[in-house]
Amino acid sequence: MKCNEIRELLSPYIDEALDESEMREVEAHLSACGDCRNEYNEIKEMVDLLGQAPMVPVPDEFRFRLRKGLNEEKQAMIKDGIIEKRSIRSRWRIITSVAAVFAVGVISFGLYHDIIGVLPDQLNDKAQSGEVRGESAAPRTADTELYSQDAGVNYDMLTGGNMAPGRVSEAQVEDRQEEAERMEDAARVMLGAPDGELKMAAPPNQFPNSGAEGEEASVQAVEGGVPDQTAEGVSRQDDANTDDEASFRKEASRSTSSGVEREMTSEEYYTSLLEEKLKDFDYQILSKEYTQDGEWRFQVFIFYGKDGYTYNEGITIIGKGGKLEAIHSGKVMGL
Amino acid sequence: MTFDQKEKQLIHKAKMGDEQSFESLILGCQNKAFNIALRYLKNEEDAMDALQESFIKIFRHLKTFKEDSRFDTWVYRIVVNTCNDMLRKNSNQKITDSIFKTEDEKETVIEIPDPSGSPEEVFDRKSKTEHIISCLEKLSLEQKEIIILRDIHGFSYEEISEILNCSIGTVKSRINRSRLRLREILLEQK
Repeated sequence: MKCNEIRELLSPYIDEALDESEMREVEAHLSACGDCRNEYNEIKEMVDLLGQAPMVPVPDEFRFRLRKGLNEEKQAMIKDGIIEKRSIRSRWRIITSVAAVFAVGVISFGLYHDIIGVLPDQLNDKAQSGEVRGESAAPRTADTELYSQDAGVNYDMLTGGNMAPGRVSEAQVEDRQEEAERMEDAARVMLGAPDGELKMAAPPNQFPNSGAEGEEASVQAVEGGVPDQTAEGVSRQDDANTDDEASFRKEASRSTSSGVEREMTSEEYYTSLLEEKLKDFDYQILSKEYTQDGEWRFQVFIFYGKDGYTYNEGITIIGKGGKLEAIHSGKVMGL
Repeated sequence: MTFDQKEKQLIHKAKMGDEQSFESLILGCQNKAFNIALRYLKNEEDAMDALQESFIKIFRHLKTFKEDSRFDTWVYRIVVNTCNDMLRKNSNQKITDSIFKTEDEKETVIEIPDPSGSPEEVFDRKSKTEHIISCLEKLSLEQKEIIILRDIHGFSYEEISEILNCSIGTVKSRINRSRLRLREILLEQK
C-alpha cells in the first residue's frame, strides 16, 4: 500500500474501525515508513488531547428556564389540542390533594385526642362512667372555649384585623407567634384544672385592633363539662360576632394546632415581604416550602429588572426571623 | 425495572404532557447536549438558548419519536440541528468569543481532568488542548462538527451517522479529512 493510501486509513486505524487485514497492513507500513509514522503520531496525540477537553456543567439557572419554557409550551400544546388538559398527572394531583386533605383531618383528630389525653383522670373517669354522657351539647365546654379563643386569635392574624392584609410588621409576626404559643401553654394548664372547673384570666391582648378583645380572652367555667370532641357545642355568646366569623372559628377549632396557622401567617408575611423587595423585577416564585429549621425557602427565578437589565437567574430566598436573605452562587446576601 | 423500561415509561408519560417525566428523561443527556452546543456556539448563554429551544421542540414533537430508536441520539440530533440553525441565523453577527471567556471577558478557569504526570506536564497538556480547540474555528462547520462529536464527545461512527443523518461511509471519510486538515492547521501555527 502506498503512503497516500495509508493516509486515508490513519483515522479509522486510530479508531480501530478497520478490519483485521487492513489493521495489520497499516501497522506494517507505519513500522517501515517514518513520514507516515510521524503523521500518525501527531494525529493520535491531537485526538487524545481533544478527548481531554473539559466538560462544563450546565448552569443551575437552566433548570428554571427550562421549567418555565416547558410550562408555557404545555399551555400552548393544550391550546393546540396536542395534549389533553386533564393528563394523568393532573388526575393524580386531584387524588393526592384529596388524600392530603384527608390526612390533615386525621392528624387534626389525632392531635385533638392528644390534648384530651392530658385531662386529669377524674375527667376521663367521669366520661367513662357515663356521668357526662349527653352533655356534649353544653353551651360552652372547656376545650371548645379554648379552641375558640385560639381560633379567634388566628382569625385575627389571618384577616389582619384592621391592618392591611399581608402587611404585618416583623415585630407583630413574632408577637403573634409568642401569643399563640402562650395560648397552647394556657390550654394545657386549664385542661389540667381540678373538677373541670376552668377559670382563666384574660391574657393580655397584644394585638392592636384585633376586634375580638374581652370576649376572646375570657373563658367561662363549665362545671363537669366534658370537652366536646366534635366541637359541635360551640355557642357564641357575643352577639357582636357575625355568623361568618363564628363559622370560621368553628372550622378553625377543627383544624390542627395553632402551629399550622402560624405557618400560614408567616408564609403570607414572607411572601408579601418578598413581593415588596422584588417589586422592581420581573420574576416568578417557582416553589416555596417550610423547612424543619423553621424557615421559608423560596425558589425564585428573576427574568429582568424594570431598568431593562436581563438576569435570567434563579436564586433561593430564605425567610427567617422576620427577615429575608438571598442565596446566590452559594453566597448569602442580604435583600 | 431496567433502564430501557424506565425510559419507555418516562417517554410515555412525557408524550401525554407530563413535564416532570420529560425533565427526568432528558436529565441523562442534558450535560452532553449542553457541551455539544457550547462547542458549536462558544458561549454559555447561546448554548443554553439552543438547549432550551431543542428541549421544547422535543417536548412538543415527542409523539413523533419512534421508540425503537435511541432517545439520546434523537436528542443530540435535534440539538445539533438547532445549533446549526442558530449559526446560520447569526452568520452575520460576530461570533468570536472563546468558550474560555465569560461575558465580562475574564478568563474562566476550567480544569482539565486526568492530571497524571508532573504539574508541568499537566499544564503543557492543558495548553495544547486549548490550542487545538481554538484551531477548530479554522475548520469548516462540517469538519468542526464531526471533530466535536467524534473526538471531544466520543460518539461512535454509527451514532454520528444517526445524529448527522448520513451514511457511515460519509462519517468515516469526513472524520479522516477533518483530522488531516486540523493537523495541517496546527502545523501552520507552529
